[in-house]
Amino acid sequence: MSVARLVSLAILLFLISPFLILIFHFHQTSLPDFGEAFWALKNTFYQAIGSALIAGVMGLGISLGLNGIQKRIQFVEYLLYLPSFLPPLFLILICMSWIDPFPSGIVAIVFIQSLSYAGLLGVEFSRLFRDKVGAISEVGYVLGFSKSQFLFQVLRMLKRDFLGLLFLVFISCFASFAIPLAVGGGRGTTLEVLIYEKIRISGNFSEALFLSLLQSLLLISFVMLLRRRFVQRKNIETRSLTLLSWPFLKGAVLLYIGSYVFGFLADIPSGWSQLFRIQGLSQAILEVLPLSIVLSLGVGFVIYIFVMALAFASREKWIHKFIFSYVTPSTALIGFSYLYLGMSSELMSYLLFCLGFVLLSICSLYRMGVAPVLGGLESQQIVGMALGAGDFLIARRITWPQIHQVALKMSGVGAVWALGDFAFSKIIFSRDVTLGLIVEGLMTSYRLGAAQALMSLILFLGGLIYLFFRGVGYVSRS
Amino acid sequence: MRHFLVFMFLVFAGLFGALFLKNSRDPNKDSRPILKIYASSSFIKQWGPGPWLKEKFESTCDCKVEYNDAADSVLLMQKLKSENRGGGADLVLGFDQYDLEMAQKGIEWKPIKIESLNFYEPVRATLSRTHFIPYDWGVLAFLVRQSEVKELPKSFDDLLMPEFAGQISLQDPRTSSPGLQFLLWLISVKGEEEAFQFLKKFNAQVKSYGANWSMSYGLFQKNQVKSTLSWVTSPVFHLLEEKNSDIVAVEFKEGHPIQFEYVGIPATCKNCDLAEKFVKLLLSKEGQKVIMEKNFMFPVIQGVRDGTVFESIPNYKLMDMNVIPTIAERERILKKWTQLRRAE
Repeated sequence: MSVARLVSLAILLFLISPFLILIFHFHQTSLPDFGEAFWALKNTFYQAIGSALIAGVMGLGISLGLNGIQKRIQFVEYLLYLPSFLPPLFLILICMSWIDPFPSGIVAIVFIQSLSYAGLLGVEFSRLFRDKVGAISEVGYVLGFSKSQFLFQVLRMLKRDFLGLLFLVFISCFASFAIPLAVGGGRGTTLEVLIYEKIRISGNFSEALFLSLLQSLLLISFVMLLRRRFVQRKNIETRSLTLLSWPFLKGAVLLYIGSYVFGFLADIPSGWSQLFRIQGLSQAILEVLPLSIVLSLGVGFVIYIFVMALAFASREKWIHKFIFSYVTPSTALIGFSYLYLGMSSELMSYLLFCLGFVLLSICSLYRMGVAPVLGGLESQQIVGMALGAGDFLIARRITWPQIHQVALKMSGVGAVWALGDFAFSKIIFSRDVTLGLIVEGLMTSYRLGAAQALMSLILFLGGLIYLFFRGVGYVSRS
Repeated sequence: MRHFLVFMFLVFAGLFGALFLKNSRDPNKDSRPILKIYASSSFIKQWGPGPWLKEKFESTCDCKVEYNDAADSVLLMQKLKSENRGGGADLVLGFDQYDLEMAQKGIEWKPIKIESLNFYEPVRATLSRTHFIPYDWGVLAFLVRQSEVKELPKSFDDLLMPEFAGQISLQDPRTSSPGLQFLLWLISVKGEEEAFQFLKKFNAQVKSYGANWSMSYGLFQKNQVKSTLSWVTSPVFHLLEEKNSDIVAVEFKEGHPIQFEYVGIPATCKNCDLAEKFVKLLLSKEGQKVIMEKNFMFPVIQGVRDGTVFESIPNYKLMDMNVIPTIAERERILKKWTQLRRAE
């Protein structure tokens, strides 16, 4: 058995470890009510598909506006990513503050989820345009194409790439919990809600596990059915995107950023004032700050190692297809499975947090940034193999140098997510060891303003951590 | 890339080394017994009663108190079960009356001896459960801002008024204890069939069934809704912290449900005597006052509210809480609730 295959098997075991632990722990199996499960599945599909499509349309508009922005592009991109980092409550509050009366049902779920992912898609679409059609855009300009004609042709040409990115949003919305519940009305029951209900009301982990397995298997089958090839992406220098830059849509970018930035930041000053009035809280924040940053960097580092390992095993196509289509079990199930492993020491809990959080985020990060780049290296790897190079030589000379940057970028994104997490942290940790847990504590005790203020600090620190990983990438490239 | 990996390895080796060094030099690392307490995060945070109780107890017990955040009851049970393998909690705080069946099935508990204290009448009725003692209680009610409503609602039927259309935030009964209590409250008042008929009309008044209390209360705090379900003591927080007297808890003529929060000592406790002494501190007048003022819940002992702002809270008509539906019964009711929502 080759080393690449061993690495692939290890990655597979890691990804399915929560299922294995829980199946081992719960010998009995009981089946859920299939009528209820089917209804929840239907709701899940409708809201996920709707969210992906609407987010795609909004993202396209944002990308066309973003293409015209030359200065401080990275700062603008970070602002566009931000809504996907905010806790659901803040997103709901921002949306409700703009629309009154706020709808309920599938429309409300789709609206809020689209808004949270439109920025992320806008950035990714913009990068796709630059990487794939930068040169063609110049040719089209010379030949006299109009902007709308060119856009139509580009959309046809990059159909699969767009579908791949929409699928990323689809998967994230598929596993959504808080937003469908809060605004979904009668259609608010998704599979994730059902899983949580089984755990919470009757402590029925067997049924919860079954539903989680069903969720993962359905999605894997769905992707296998589509037989989607990985996106081919060439590394081209950024060119002028005149034909894909619609200046009036710069307003769309500003509107998007402004709508949630102002909605979120408006109450920050009073929130900070509330935060400072809480005795001992400033001290507690300073105490957990170093460990929060260390854990965040730790998650980023493990993600980097994981991505590089995946890159090493890139000729094992099956593991890449698996990760692309895999939906990790819900946060609660992963957390409980790790609890059963036992936390013999604090260090163990820190390590399990890093591993568990990587497990929660790696599939999304893979779909978002790694898969497109790895797909583009296939031809180079084939040439290397044809010339007799082994796996290690191909990885060292071809794959790793080209995946290094994107691995660091995904590490940065994962690290920021980890910094603001409290859902997974509260299962693993028994004390307030992270800023995210302090935010959660404030939210559950009337102090929403203070929670919002602390969240703004987390987002600021997250930005610095993200820039750290990007900076390391630039330094190592030079 | 090799340089990056070496650099990151050195950074983490340094950070973890510093962490170990800090722990080994920790002056608090001593040979005193450690009383391990599991409690909800709002209890043990800086603004909760936990820090005061810890300091007070440590000053007399020649021991150390270690809090562990238990989040919700399900997570608490899982942590207790996993901890018990290696010797776990000495004391557990935060179960409500709906969690007790699950708690008793999960692990064994020690009976707790308490002195005869001047408990409130509704609390006295729960003292037959010798393994779990209530340390605070709350009364559930709908909160409104007086300036926003023409007339305070006095019953469930008043919540069907047009001014409350899409203006109420509640908690989902499948994922939140207050949400479940609302459903059981409604069934208790109207009977099951009529309650579900009522819900068909009432759900149009509900803007959001949030996953938890903070979601629904957050909507209320941010003026997205006119009313939310919380405790009658919640307005005290706004009065004391925000100098806001506009928020009130409305009294329903049908009566209000009570939520008790219990303390229990697992049978696998290592420091059981210390745990019993801590329970005594919880139930002392001093301890009860701190719990009342920091948890914003009622004390179980009479006389503690005197001279405080909590004394001004009216005596709400309370419901009989002696009958607690079993887990199976609750599942049946929730299934019926879900089916009702499916038909919307």
